[in-house]
Amino acid sequence: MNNTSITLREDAPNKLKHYELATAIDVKLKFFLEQSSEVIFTVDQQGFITFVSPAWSLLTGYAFNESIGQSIRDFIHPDDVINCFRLFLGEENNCFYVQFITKQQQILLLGASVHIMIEDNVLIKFSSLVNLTGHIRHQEALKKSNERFYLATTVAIDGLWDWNAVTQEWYLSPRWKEMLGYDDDELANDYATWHERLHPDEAASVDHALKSVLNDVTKEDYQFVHRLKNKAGAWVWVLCHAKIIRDQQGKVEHMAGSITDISLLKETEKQLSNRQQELDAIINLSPDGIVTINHGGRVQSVNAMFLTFTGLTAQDVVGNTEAQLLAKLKAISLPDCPAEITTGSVFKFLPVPISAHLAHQPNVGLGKNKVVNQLGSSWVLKVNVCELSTDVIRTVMYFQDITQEIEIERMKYEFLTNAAHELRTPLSSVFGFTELLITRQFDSKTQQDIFVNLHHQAQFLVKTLNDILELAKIEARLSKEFHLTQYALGAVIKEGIALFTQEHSDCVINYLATADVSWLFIDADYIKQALFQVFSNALKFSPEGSIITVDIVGRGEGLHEQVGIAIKDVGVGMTQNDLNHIFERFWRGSNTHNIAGIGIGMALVHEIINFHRGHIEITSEPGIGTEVVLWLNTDAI
Amino acid sequence: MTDTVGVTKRPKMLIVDDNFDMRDLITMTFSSSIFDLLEAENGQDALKIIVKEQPDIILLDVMMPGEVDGIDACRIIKTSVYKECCVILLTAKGQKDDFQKGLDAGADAYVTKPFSPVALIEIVNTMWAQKQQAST
Repeated sequence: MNNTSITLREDAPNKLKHYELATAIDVKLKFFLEQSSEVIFTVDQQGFITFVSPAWSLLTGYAFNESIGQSIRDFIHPDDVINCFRLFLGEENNCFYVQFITKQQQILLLGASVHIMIEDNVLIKFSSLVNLTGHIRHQEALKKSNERFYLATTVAIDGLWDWNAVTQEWYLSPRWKEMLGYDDDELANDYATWHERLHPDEAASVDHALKSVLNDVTKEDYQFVHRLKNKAGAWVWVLCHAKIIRDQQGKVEHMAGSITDISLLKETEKQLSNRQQELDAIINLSPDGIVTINHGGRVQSVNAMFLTFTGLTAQDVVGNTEAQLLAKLKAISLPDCPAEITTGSVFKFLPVPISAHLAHQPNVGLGKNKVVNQLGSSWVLKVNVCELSTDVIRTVMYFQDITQEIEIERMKYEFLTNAAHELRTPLSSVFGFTELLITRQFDSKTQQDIFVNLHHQAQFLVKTLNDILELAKIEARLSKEFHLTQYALGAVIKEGIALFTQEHSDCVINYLATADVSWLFIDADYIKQALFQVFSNALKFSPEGSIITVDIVGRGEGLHEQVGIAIKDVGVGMTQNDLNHIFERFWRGSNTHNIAGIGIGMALVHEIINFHRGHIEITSEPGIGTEVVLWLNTDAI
Repeated sequence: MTDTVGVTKRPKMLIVDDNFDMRDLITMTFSSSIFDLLEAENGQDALKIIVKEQPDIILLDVMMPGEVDGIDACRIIKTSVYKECCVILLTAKGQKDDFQKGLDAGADAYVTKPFSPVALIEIVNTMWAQKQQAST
């Protein structure tokens, strides 16, 4: 730089002195001029540029030689020329804004200063320029931001708050206070204002959450739902949202955020939740199995009854397509499964055993025959499909349990045909023998035998009729005739034994149970009637004078606890084939030979035990005897 | 019933019914007839006796316990070498479809309970006479 020294007005007598001075500070000055972002320049009296510091070129884009000798006027924006050019030429200190035009035709807002110094009667003058463009923009932005902030804090729906962790200053916006029913000046801007109003149920968890968020340097924001007490003492649900600003060490510098009044939301949520619970309860208590299908054609939900019917779990079916659902139903269905799930389809399932663990009971020893009756036969479910026009659910499938209807229909038919059959057999005897008596001559012995037989048949008809009526009554599910009351089982059994031995004085029944531990909800009269039937079977099929034993047995624990009445005889016993048919009405064992009876007994016992939600197990060995256990659940019904 | 095969050449009648009283009644009905009387109390026993004794007439109850009921037994007899034997179905069932089932199984006659012993004797006698005529 050949003109590093400040250009001075020509003043000969002082020239040397000034030169020396200039030389002395030359190095410092050069450094200053080169490093400073401030432009230093000088102009002559006409405004022509005589010197510029290196920063000039950086600021304006014009090179040194493009600028020297040019009028400063040429660089000033036309708007400012009149005012500013004059100031640059003036001979007094001045500070003003000036817009410059760069070589790239950009407008820069510059802060200009004119410096005047008089030393030893010599006027020294230079000017400086500072680029203020960025600074001014920032100022304007700040102004706008402040306006916005003011609007936000006063007009906004959300209450705003701010915490400076360094200075511990708190700010709560007027809206924040208004949300709690206060005027701006009623509450202090501090931590306590907020913290004292926290609901006691949430205070601890809010504190804990806040603390952990503040300590976790990775956390930049934080959200929490809690209640605040308002001026009236009521609770306002708010959603608190915060932003955290940390220094480089991760230490919290600043935290600011908003609270949103969500009381209405909470109230709606509560109502929805109540409604949801109500609906869930209704759906789950529904006697129908219910499956909902969403618009994607997939299973949205299933109710408890559907799961009971099918033995499936919710995980098995939720999310399934209709085809997958059908496949799962097919897998557990009896062979004649319908090809689609549509209104009128009928699905049949084998029921899931009441207590699955029974299926894993060790079987009786070899050579023994055993049968366990299950509760009822198969479930029969009739489908009703409803298409909906809601946003959530497209289809609702109702699986209506028509097992009982079907079963009653079947029983009615079976009952009538069987009753007809069974009444005809003794009637045939009466009809046939009387005709023989009328048309033939018999010796008095034969005649007597025929009359005895006829009387026997008549008696048998009466008994059959009574049994049929009894069975019909139970099968019609006249459940109001059952009176379930808590009884001591032992006492009921003893009464049953007494009742039976009263009528059959030749029969000996040993009651083995010593302690009576079982209080059960049963219909004592029907249980006694069931015992009566089992006793009479045992008696009928045992050699004269043999002893029947009765005992109370138990197994399982807790909910699965069962109590059984075990009746054992040493009679003719039964084959497996006999056992397979034992619960069928009017069926009689293969070795019953000439023993009177029509085979209603066990069907009756079956109905009674079924009603108690129990089941019957029979173990038998031909020639050895039979053991019948009437199992009752301790939580029966 | 005590006669041995081949001595008197009396025809044989097999009575099949699970009910003792019914067998008693039929036995008494035919006690002074020309037939030797045999008894079985179920279908399986009946088939065994047929093979052994080759009866000429069978009175067969339809509803019997066990694996072979009257209709089954009738079908087996009528499709076997013993098909020449007359089968009269005796049943408590009187419905039309049972009657048809019996005829489809090849029964020669169908009698519903309660039946008249006199009428039954009549049916048996007529059938036996026809059979005699046919074989001579």
